[in-house]
Amino acid sequence: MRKKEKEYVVVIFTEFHESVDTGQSLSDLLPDNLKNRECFVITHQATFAALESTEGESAAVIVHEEKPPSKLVKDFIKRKLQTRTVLAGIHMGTPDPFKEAQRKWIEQTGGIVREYIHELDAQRSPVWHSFSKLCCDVRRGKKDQFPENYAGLVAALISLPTGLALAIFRHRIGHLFTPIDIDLQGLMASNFRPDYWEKVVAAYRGTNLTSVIDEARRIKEELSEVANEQQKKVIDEKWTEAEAELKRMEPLLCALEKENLDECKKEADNFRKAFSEFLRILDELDDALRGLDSRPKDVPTENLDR
Amino acid sequence: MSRPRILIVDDIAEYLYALQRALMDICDVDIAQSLEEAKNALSENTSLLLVDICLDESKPGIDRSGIEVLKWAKARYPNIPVVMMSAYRDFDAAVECLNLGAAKFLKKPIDIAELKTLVRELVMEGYAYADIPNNR
Repeated sequence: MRKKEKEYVVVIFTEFHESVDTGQSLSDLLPDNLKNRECFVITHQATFAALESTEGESAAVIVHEEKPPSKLVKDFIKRKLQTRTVLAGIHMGTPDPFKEAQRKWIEQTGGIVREYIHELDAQRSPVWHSFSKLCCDVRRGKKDQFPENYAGLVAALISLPTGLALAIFRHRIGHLFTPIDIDLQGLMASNFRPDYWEKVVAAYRGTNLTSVIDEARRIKEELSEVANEQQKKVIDEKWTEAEAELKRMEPLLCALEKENLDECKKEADNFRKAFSEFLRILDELDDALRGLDSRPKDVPTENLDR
Repeated sequence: MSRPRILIVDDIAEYLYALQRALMDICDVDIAQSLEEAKNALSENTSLLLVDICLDESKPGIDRSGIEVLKWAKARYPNIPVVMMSAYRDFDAAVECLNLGAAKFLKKPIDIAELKTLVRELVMEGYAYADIPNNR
């Protein structure tokens, strides 16, 4: 069962905070399905830094200003948000101030802020699209759109951990096997030259090579845990095919673990073909998931369309 | 011609060592796991630079420090060919790297035969990539 997460949405409106109703009362603007989320909208860096009750799994720091983070904010980020997913959006019109602000936020938050966005790139993800829309409408004084835009931003932020997990699973799983695949390519090209073979077995000596298969399964389970029902169905279908290839890869891993040269020679080609097929299946899964709704399973779809 | 010297930059040690073993028969291989290590390891004796875009495994798909390595290398050693690699199907990053002067963008997992061919083309046969501006 997926651990219940709390999400924090921190929006800093330094330029025009007077034009919106700010503070925690903004949670009233959210649809019912989002009301159990802990969300804060903060108008000043000082207020943000004073926030103490952040016990969530992830956090978003959305910045709409050119100023670098204040000392209070820097301290707060380092003290409270070190283990979280932290995003910082900088939304402004011209590239040069953006680059300067981006540089300062990256340097001064110790590199824990993961991503920055210029408003020209805002279309590339629901989070930044919603954030851009919110900022533009507030700037233009369109207060009536604020609740809808705010709910959109919160929903997009809540979807973020799922989106990230979906985006990187292929890399995490593929990486488990790529060093072995490279060594195998080299060994095969050298016709299993003895000195090369010795270097390879020495590199893996004492490691439990077959455990990488269990690790691949564990990553798949992690993916399933954050996936919604529709995504989970696709994952399970594709993983049945992937499992068949993992089974074809296992004998080579056993042989390398046992330093059995003859078995490695026998299984090398089979492993490479299976690994190639395994990656193709992961690519297909990746494509299929990208084509699906990326909302997490515990966020109902009603009222979230943006 | 002296034996070529390649610098490979990737944050995953196992990957670096495997590439080092795979290329040892055609060149000497230096390795670095970060921008700072790459800055220290890169020199005028380097024949080719091979860099992964993501140099922080804790931020896969987000970190792009490898592009900073590319920029730094091109600013200081414009004649050293740089080959970028990535595990992600990131078309924008590939275009950005080529625009910044990368000679080639390789998708992981790397095909070792293809990589060796590339090394021969870019280094061992005196192929001067920078002299052929339309070949990107």
